[in-house]
This record gives sequence, structure tokens and C-alpha cells, in this order.
Amino acid sequence: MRFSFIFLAAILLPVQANAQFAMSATDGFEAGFLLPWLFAEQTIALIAAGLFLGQHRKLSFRQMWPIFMVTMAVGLAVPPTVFSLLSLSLVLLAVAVTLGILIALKMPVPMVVAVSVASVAGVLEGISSAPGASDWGAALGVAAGSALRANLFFVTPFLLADWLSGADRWPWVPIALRVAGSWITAIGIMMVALLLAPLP
Amino acid sequence: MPTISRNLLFVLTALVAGGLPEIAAAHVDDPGFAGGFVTGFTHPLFGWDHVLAMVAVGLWGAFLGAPSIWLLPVVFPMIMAFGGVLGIVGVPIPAVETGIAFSSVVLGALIALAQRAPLWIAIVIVGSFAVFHGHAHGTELPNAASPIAYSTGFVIATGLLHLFGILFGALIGWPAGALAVRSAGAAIAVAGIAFLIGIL
Repeated sequence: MRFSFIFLAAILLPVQANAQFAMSATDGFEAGFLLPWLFAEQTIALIAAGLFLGQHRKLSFRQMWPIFMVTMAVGLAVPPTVFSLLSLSLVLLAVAVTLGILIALKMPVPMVVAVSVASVAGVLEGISSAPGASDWGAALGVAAGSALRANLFFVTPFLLADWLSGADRWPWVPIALRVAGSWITAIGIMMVALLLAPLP
Repeated sequence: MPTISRNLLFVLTALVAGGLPEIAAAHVDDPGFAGGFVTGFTHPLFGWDHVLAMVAVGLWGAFLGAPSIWLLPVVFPMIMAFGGVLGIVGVPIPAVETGIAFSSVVLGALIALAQRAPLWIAIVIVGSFAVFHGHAHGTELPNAASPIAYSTGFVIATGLLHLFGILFGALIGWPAGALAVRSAGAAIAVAGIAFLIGIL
């Protein structure tokens, strides 16, 4: 339980700290949490990564989550001007579509693939959420808000998929996960088409 | 993976509890996304030709049993997305509405006649019709208020219609249930004919 309180405090402290200085840090937190550069693309990629890793019960959350967080921190350090939003969108959607297919197929994956998925998801999420603010307080606020949002959309499907897959009394769960993977793929394919299609 | 610890559940609950009010606020701030999702979600529900065909896919999958019961609802959205892409980029497909109506006729008749096709034939049949349904949705996508939310909504609604068909098809385990499922198939086929000749 001590770990839980430390974790909760770590999440909430930036908000309190920002509140004591300037509004820009709070604004940064809200922007990081609510208004990432590519909300739809980032969300679908995070959910896909979470479901994919949670579907394979031999993969430990305690191993994957730190990898995700460390690689996300690396991505957050990349200046937001390095990659164009279009290229980031396409990469995020390509990851989501690929993971959706893998979820639908439910193929066994070696550990190196799982680590790669957690790393790629983390780095991409970090790059896509990189703070553009010049002020350190605001930048840290954006980073904290982004981390909280990323955890919501990565950790929740991961743990749900893992927990539900382990319940023997619910044999429909593996089917539901496969169907969810196909939905992710379908949505991702159409989002790519919408990005690349000429405006009507 | 070890059982989820109490600490982890606490952290997850805290994350969700902390994030929910902000997510709710996001809906207020961005009615376009929510509106697009609702429009997309309700689109397949208000077109009876779509509704009947989607339910028929689930019904036939349940009728055929494993692995069709999950494979058809997995394959359909993916191929529907392909049809959607064709609609988004403006590739014309002849007689889309006829194809949609014909899907109700064929799938309904297969259920009514208790036809147990091999898996690959079932996939080809369902996949072929999925192109027509996806094209119809995709053509309307670029004009939607929020195309990404629209596509997300209609993919999920389509999946839920499949689920309804599967649940109804599960009645086949009982003698009276089998009759009910086959009768539903016959009704879908008749409705499809009515769509074809323009009565409905």
C-alpha cells in the first residue's frame, strides 16, 4: 500500500506544485492530459498496445510498464518540431493496425517482440506528447499530464485484458479481445485513408 | 503474470477516478468529436438494410459454430474497412445498395435453410458483402463533422450488431431456439427481397 500512496502522490504533486507558481504549469498539465497533438491516433495506438500485451498472460505488467514509462520519457525529450504531425499520425496508425491484426490472430509472441511493442508505444507516445512550451514549469506540466493520460489508455486495457483472460469462467473473453483487435484495425485503416484522401 | 495486487488495483482506481472528470469535461469542450461518434454509432442502426445484414452475420456465425462464431465478426470489420477506404478515396463500386440488400437475402437464406458452408466459403461470402457495406459508410465519412469519431462509432455499432446476432444465434442449442433462428433468417431474407425490389 505504501507504493500506492507514493505513486498517487507522484501523480498529484505536479498539480499542487504548479498551482503554487503560475497558471501556465496548470495549463500545461491540462493540455498534456486533454489536448495531445494527436488525440485519436495516440489513443488508439495506446489501447492496441495495452490489449496486445495484456492478451499474452505470460508477459508481466511489472516488466512492461517500466519499459513503457522509460521509453515515453525518452520520447518526451524529443523536440516536437523534429517530426511532422502527418508522419507521426501515420506511424501511430500503422502501429495500431499491426497490433490490431496481431490481437485478432492471437499469435504467440517472443519476449523481444513484447519489449519492442512496449518500447515503440512508449517512444511514440512521448514524441507525440512532447511539450512545446519554453517555460520549464509548463513543460513539466505537459509531461505530467501526458504521462497520466498515457497510463489511463495503456494500463487500463493492459490490466483488463490480462485479468479477464485469466478468468476461466469467462471463455468469451479471448473472442472479445480478437474482435476488439479487428475493430482497432478497421478504425485505423479508415483513419489512414482519411488522412491521405483528398478533401471533398 | 502474477495476480494483480491490491496496490495495483488501488493505483488504477486512483488513475481512473482522477481522469474521469477531465474526460467528461473534454466532451463538453469538444462536441464535434462526441457528435461525430454518436452520428457514426447511430448510422448503421437507422438503416434497416445494414442492421439486418449485420445481425445475419452474427446469426450465421453462431449457426456455423466455432471458429466461424468469432472469425466472421473478426473478418467483417477488417474487410468493411477496406470497402470504406474505397468509398473515402472515391473509387466507385457499382450497385452498392443492391449489394447491401442482396447480402440480407443471401445470409438470411443461408440461415433459414440451415446451410453449413465450409469456413473459407463463409469468409468469402461475408467478406464480399462487407465491401459493399463499408463502401456505403466510407462514401459518407469525409462529409461527417468528425470523420475519425464517425468511423469509430460505426465500427463499434457494427460489432455490437454482430454480437446481438451471435447472442440470438446461441438459442440454436434448443429445438425451439433453432426454429426461432431459422425463422429470423427467413424474415431477414424476405426483408432483403423487399429492399431489392424497393418496397422497403
